Amino acid sequence: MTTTMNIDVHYVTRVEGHGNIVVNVKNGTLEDCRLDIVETPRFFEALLRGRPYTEASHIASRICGICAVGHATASLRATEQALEVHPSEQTRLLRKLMFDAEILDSHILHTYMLVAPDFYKLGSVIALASVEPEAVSRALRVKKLAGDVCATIGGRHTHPITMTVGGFTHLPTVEEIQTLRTRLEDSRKDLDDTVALFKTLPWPQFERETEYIALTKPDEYAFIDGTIASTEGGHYETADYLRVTNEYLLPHSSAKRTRHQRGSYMVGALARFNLNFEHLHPRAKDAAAEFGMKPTVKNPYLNSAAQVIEMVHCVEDAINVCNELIARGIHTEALPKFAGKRGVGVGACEVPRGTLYHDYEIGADGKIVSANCIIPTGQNLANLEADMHKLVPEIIDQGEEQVTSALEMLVRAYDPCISCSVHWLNIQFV
Amino acid sequence: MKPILILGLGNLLQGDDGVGCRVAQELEKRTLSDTIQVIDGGTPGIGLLNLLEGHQRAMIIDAAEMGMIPGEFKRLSAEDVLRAGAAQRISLHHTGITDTLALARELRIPLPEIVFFGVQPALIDWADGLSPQVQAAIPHVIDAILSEIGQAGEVPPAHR
Repeated sequence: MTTTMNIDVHYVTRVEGHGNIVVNVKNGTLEDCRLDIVETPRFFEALLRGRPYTEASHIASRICGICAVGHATASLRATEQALEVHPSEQTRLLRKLMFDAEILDSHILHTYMLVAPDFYKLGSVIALASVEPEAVSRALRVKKLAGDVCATIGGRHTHPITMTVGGFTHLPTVEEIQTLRTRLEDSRKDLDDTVALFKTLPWPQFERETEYIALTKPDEYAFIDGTIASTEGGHYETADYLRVTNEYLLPHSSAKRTRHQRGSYMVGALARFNLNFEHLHPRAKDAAAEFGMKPTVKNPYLNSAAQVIEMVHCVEDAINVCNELIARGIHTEALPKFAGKRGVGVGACEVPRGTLYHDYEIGADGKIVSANCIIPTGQNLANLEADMHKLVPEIIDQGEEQVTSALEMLVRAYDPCISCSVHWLNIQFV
Repeated sequence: MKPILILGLGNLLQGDDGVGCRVAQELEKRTLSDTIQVIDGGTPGIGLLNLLEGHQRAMIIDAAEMGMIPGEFKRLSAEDVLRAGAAQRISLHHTGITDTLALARELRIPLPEIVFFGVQPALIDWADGLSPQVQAAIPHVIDAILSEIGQAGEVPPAHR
């Protein structure tokens, strides 16, 4: 008796949580090599449908506890595009400050707590803490500062409350910004020590020709808004993001994949580094020189090194933004009223893990008609798999343990949300 | 910063995992001594260290799998919790109390004197509200906490 089975997965959404790596090598031939994403869908796009536009950023920020500001900002930018609302310079500056802080928060934790233990052949940051207590203390210290910046402007550490369409419902005081500036300036030593530590680590040597994609702007290292750029050439308005992402489905993955001019592309710190290097703060460029990195870097493991460089940049940028805010003073600004017109809009941001798109249609009644959210981790999955396909044959002679370790480190280097789960990795050797 | 912290931890969306939060919410309705701060801490991960900072004594309430009857609860020391074993790998989303305390110990971060009240859950799964057994335990947990620190919020001599 034979059984025919057709599995048809509708309404697939995004990745968050577990992933399985499957590698089958038979008689030296790589037969199968893939990343199975088996996490259940999140259904955020469905959750947004029918909700008043004022709720969108609050719902969307719940997609992630680490990139909550990122999702909230992309959501607000999409709504503002749809409603033709133009944020003031003050709003732009406050959002930039929160963004710098969130990227710092995410990167410091990722590099020290998720990536660094591998270099010491340790299983966790607790083990690392007994070997390098000063380093781990430093990470917690910087994380606290970053969280406090977000809390001061956003109203709390996670899931900002004060951010809204066209501005803020509560503003920090100039004194609070001055305090943050002092703490940011005092953190420079911690960032220098971070560069000093990470540049000495034995980064794996691996390269693959890769297309890198990130937002760019003519005059700054882009995190919020910009045009979409590729190392293969081309610029796209964010409204045309679908021409870049080109999502498709795979049977072994509950997350969609993306591709552009090659079979896959990479987003994230390394992509931003490669495309926006000229706009890095001088201290960040110095850090890049310490790592011996300049565009175009094609080693995905160095995505974490690019994160260290971005941390230096974000501290300096945050200080600059504080200076501007202090010089301008903080002023109450009226928030926009809804004009009662239908609109569509795309918000694009560079969150810690890469380019994030929120795409909304808002009806004339102010309710969300439809939403599309493409997160960075989903955009990296095909590229991660392509890296695995190239890497495994190159290192297969090192034995199962080494190959397993190298693959784990590769996945972590991408800083995907799936590696945040403890039991995510399942490698089968045949 | 008040000397005594009563901190309820857990996830209100996961049934009995929210017992710590509910205890904190109940205590917030009461008038307690000025020396006591009550916090519904949710699931703070590494942020637990920030919540504990600056207090001299902390009572932490959370659901705990102790092999007991649902609704039963137990007073545990920080040592008891640490001995339960830290996870091999920490994730940003799942840093638990044990991991956080182990980390604080390695880093010699000064912590308040910590007492845990572990409440045995009946069900930890997507559920709105506590099981009847755990709901019924809340007044008793509160009594135990307040006895621990003294009704007026002062530490009884025997515990100093």
